[in-house]
Amino acid sequence: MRRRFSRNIGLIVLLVAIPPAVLGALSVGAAGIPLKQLLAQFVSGGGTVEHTILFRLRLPRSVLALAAGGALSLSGVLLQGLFRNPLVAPYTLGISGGAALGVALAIVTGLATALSLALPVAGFTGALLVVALIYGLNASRRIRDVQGMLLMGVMISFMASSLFMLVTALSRSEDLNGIIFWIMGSLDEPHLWLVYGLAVISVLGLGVSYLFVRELNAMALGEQDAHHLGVDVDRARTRLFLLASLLTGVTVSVTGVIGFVGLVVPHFIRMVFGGDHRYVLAASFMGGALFLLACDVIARLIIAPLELPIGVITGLVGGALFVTALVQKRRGI
Amino acid sequence: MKHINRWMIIACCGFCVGVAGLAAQQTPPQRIISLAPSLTESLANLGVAARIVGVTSFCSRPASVKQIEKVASAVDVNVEKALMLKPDLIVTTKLTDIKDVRKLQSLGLRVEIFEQPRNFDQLCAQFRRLGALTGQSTQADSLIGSARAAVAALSPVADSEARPKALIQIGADPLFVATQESLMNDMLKRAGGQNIAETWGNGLASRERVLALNPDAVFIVTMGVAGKQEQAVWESYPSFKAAQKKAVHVVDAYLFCSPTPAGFARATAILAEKLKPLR
Repeated sequence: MRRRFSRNIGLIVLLVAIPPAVLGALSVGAAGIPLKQLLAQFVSGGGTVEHTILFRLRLPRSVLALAAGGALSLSGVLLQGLFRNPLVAPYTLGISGGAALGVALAIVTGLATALSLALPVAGFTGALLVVALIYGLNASRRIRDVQGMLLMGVMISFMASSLFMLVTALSRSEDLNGIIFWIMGSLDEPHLWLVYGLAVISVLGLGVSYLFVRELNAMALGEQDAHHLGVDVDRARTRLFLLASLLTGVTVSVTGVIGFVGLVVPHFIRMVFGGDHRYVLAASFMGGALFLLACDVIARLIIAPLELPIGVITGLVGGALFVTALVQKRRGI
Repeated sequence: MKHINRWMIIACCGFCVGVAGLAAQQTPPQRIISLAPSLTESLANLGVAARIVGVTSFCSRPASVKQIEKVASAVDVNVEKALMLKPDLIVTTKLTDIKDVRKLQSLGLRVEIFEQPRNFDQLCAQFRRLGALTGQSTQADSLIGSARAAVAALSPVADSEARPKALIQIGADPLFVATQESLMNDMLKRAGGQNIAETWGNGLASRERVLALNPDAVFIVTMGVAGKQEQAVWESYPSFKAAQKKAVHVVDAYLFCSPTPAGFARATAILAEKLKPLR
């Protein structure tokens, strides 16, 4: 009872932390708009540079950080639950490799210059092809268990990465730059509808994931036990895989590859909230959103007025926090 | 009569607005952001350094631009900073992240993108375009004329057999060399050399291939200590002609990688001087 209460409090804390975190992120940047003026910009009309900075740059960026962080973390927690493997991350199954390959091909063939939406479309197509391949093999029963599915995903990931390297090795220097920029990940998305679209999809994904709470909790005991508890394991596995993959594919196609969020945040959340997916799903979503938002603020501040690629910060901060938490856990602190 | 007066006033106002609009359009940009070192140096050459309000952290020539506000690194443009500087022109190359370019354009900023020049003529054409954009066409033409004269004075070698075989190394690990897609290929040719890597695709190369073709000279365009290390590597091969002829040179990477027409002429003169004893 007490544990349930503390977990509810934990969820409320995460939820309540989002508005001030967003306000903090909105007030940080090269323009140095003070908080008071920031609030005034919400009320006053447009036309000023500050208004443009706030509504066209900082707000979409913060929304994208929340949406991408939430989606990646949720995807990570779903896949870790599905595979009962804490090392599985959204990119383990080759979804990012497929997306990267799609983007590299779009850049090399000149599509990225000709069409403004070529990069997200190519990224999503690449991710979708990988998902379809793994799903097809799973549906045709060539893969009979989750470990086989995981192994197949890892192999496809390696193949996609190798093909990606082949394309980059044969590309021109200007194209190579574009590919590297995409790989580093970025929250500066010029198409606002993609930003807000991802926000809607990630929240919908959270909603849909709650349809599988019972299955996830049962599968945590093992597939056999889940089956005995009345769970249609095959169906749940397929649907969870598709949900996590689509969340990852959509996110990667908009932001590029942002690592560590889907691996580190679910771990932290499990340390605090335990293994009950009723809490873990929402907490991971909010935790991932807050984590990526914080990382973006650090990326913007650390060498201001220049910015660091977001992936650098998620890797460094996420890795350091994770190691610290593990060491403290072992010491029993 | 009353109607005629009214129409006359409207026509005059319209004319004045039109003229004012045209004048505003023709006023050269006064607040320029440059997102490439070569463009920053070109702007300075054109005499508009005072109008530059933002540069990248890699723009260091001429020395005066080091004081200008930094708005971009090699990998990222701070769009917010750029917007805050209220530029009326942003010049950049295709090496800038396309997402950043589109973001700047979506904010209504004027972004002019310059292709990577593949030869001296393209470089001059781009310099002329930059001159036209900044209202410095006369200055641009004059500088191009001087650079062309300097390059033409480098006594071209007509006989291809007399041209020493050379290689321009851009990267060390993996080995990356200048091919026909690179401006340095044209520098080498105009300096009287022949590029052994002219047709080597995107420039990714192997040492084995270089050793097999055994060039008379190697020019290393790598910044920092890597250049010296690479020089030592090439010189360690006893059968390597360039090492035997003491023709493995480390050259100024900034000059070769971020050229202006005048810079091209200087770089070509350096190559020509090093190649002369090998003919």
